Amino acid sequence: MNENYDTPKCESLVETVKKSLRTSDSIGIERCIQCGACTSSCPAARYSDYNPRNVMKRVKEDDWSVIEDKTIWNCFYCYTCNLRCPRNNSPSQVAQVLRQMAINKGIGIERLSVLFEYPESFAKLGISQIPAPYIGQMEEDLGKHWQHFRDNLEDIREELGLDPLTIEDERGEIKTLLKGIGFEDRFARLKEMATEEGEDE
Amino acid sequence: MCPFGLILYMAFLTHLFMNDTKKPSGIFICHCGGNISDNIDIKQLKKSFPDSKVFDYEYLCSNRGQQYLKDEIEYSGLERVVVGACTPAKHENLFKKCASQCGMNQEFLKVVNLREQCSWVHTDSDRATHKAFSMLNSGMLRLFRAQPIEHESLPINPNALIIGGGISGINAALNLANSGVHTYLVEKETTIGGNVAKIGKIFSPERLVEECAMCSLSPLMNEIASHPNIELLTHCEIRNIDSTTGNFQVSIIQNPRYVTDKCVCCGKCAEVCPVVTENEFNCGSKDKKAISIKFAQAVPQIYSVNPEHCIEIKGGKCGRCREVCNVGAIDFSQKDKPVEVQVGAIIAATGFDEYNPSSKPQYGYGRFPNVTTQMELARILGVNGPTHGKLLRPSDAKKPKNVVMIQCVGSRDEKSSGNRYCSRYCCMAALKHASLIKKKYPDVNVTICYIDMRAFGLYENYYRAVQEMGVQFVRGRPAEIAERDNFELVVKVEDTLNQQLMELPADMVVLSAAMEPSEGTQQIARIMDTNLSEDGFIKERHSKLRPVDTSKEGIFVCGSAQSPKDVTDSIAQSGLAASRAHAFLSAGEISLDPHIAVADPGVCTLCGKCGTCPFGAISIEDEVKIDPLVCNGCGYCTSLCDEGAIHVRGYSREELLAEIGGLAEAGDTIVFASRNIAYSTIDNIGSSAQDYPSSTKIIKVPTTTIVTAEMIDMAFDKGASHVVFVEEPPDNQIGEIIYPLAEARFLGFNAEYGDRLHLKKAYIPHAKGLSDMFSSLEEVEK
Repeated sequence: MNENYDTPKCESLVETVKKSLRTSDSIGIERCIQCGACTSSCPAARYSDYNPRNVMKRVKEDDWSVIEDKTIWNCFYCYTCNLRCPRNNSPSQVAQVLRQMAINKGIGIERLSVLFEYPESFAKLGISQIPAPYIGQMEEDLGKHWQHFRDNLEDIREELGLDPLTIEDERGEIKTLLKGIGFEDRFARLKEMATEEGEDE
Repeated sequence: MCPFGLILYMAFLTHLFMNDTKKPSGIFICHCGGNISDNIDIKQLKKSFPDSKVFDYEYLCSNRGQQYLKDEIEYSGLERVVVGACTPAKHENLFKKCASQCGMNQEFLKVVNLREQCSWVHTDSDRATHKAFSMLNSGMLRLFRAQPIEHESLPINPNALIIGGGISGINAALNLANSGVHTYLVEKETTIGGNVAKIGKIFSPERLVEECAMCSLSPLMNEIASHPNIELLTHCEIRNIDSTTGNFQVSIIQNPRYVTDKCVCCGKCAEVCPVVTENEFNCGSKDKKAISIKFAQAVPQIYSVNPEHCIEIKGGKCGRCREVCNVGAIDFSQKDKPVEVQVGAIIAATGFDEYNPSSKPQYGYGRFPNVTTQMELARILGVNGPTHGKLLRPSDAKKPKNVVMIQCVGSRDEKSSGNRYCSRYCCMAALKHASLIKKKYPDVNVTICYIDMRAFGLYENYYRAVQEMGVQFVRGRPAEIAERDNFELVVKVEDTLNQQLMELPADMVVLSAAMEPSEGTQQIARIMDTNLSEDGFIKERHSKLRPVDTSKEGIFVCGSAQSPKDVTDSIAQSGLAASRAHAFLSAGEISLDPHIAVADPGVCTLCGKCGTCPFGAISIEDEVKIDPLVCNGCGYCTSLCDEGAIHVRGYSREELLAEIGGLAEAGDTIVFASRNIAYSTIDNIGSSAQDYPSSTKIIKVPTTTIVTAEMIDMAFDKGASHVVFVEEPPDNQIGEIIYPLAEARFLGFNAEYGDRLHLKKAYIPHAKGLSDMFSSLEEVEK
């Protein structure tokens, strides 16, 4: 897939964000009134320095340094900002565009590499799995109840009369889709970047 | 061409076109004090019309000029007259009046635009003179095809109807009644008063004063009840309006009150009534009986029974109210009563509803008892409210310590659960309530969470005064409200001015909910068949020039039925609506523009194509019926009729073909210009001292949708190089509808005629764009 659908080459950040495939047509970047409904709704903002309202402001002001700001990686796509923005904005989508721009510049690959298990399991099983680095934290946060679910998921499903969780990609549909969007090349390039980054350190 | 040759050629042409017409005709050419005669050789022009009497005069529009015109018409017995003068927009009516004073039909006089569209825009005298000839000549040819028209008018019913008895309707009714108009005031509730009766206090523009709403309202309500020119119809709904402009037949249903007007309002009935119900007037507090009066000052002063709650009406046995009523006013046998009224003008004053904030679940309205709206707070603070004016929170009737207000709830919100507009009153309402609380309870903390404080105009003084009272302001739109133990609340908001996330503790949160068009507003717009705005308010004809006229002649709108408004603005606007309605009624009759579509039943095959009239003016039953009040003469229907059975008076096929035939010559650009904005824009080229080639010739049409392939062919057959359509822009009421149709028709023609055909939108200030276009078409030819 052409990289430019994600981050089309534009004069300004606002234009890039608006034209990106990742943002909705109705997105109202210029209309943002800085009301802060996003930030006050944002769980990431509550526990870190991430401030979606401020990210929107910097995009509007065409401050390209926002791409290098580490806090843009704190959004975890809960989309509450999207739900509450009175101007039909989505700081969550904007963060996605900014992150891709960062990756294009070789910034932040270490933020991405911890998540590599997601795409890998998706390509293999047709469903994403929680990456190993997160499991310990989740055990701590969600406790035994969750561990029980995780460990006995197939049995519980069987008990409930549900099919096994893995999706049999019998007709190769997932593979075709991933091929169509150039997944393998893209993923390979990211992995390469991550390796180089690791070597640099 | 040498001047002599030109004259010969002109004489030949004149002869060719006019020898079949024997009506005595005259041409009058006005010098316009040199404006025309300096550039057009009038002597030479006069010689080119051997078959007509030709006159010229220094200032034809002067009193002496008009007399000259009338004298010569009578002396020479003229039956067709062309006047070459300034734009017809200026003096055509004046000259037509002269003609009719001489016993001529007005349609037999035509003004040809020799100033704005000839002498002022063509610098070369020979060319200007030549064009003047073809303009006068084609004008005369067109006149020989003209048909006489009689001007008609319809009488207007002198009565008025006001729909809605809130502050706007009350004020409009009093204004009309005081100017002698018999006025019906219809209200769906059991009393007039509307929302102003509920709000307790009204904010004031000049200074920190909150006036008692009821003290202002109550005398007006009593005046309504006693006014000899007002017929008050409460507890009524409008079912149907049969609309012929100026003569509306209104069908109303009066719902039963089960109490007759013998009621003396003693209140004994309510004392004995065993059914306690929720009181909507007091935001649902349980302090009302099944027989009740809405509030003490209600007008009319008559109790009413709520049939949904009354035991007797629901079929049970009670009747206690009837037993205690000394005057025998209780009547359980009352039924719906139809009322019919005839009026000439209608004012819709159907008001607003408060937005229901439960559509914003993050604020917990409806789930958390201590989250209220500003209207509910107004009731709580009102001395006739559920707490008798004491600030007590709903959950446990405790006095709150921290009150947080949230602005723009359901306003300035692009989500489908909100409204895009600013509701205009809420900043001031929040400030008013903050002030009332601070005055009475200085120890209560009031915080207003806002995005922008909009205390427009003189209200800024009020805002400043409230700031000085120690009210806190936080700039941020809160994300959500959480409820903790004991109904305590927490408002989560970012103070965007210093990037601080805050959790404001609150005993009570007040939501400044949007003002939405009331259900009644939407209903009545359907019944009246008037346009609504995108946001559901009744749309005015023009936001600046016709702010209270609706899309229907004789129907007006005011107050919050038209857009969100405070009390002050509603009263101002309702006065205007009354004045507009009065002006409409006092004309006594509507004169109908005769230049509208007419159908010839002899030729019509009832195919029904013209029934798609975009203005809904045409209905087809046994024959094609065209409503003369709705038709604006745009001419679109004529292009739909294959039989030629329909035409616009003054713009028939024969007239237009005669004009085109007389006007078009080799190399010309023939311009069809819509008669209002497009034609004025072309006039403006002249007024703004620009020029264009004399081969550009203008033909006025109602709209370009009237132009047919036959007419375009005629222009090209005569040698024209280009044909241009200049159309009204799609930003006025007619243009919005006509422009897309004109464009579609143009595109259809374009396929056939290619780049010899052009379409241009006209904007009056942008005359240069048009003159440049006309010039560029000539360039292409060279």
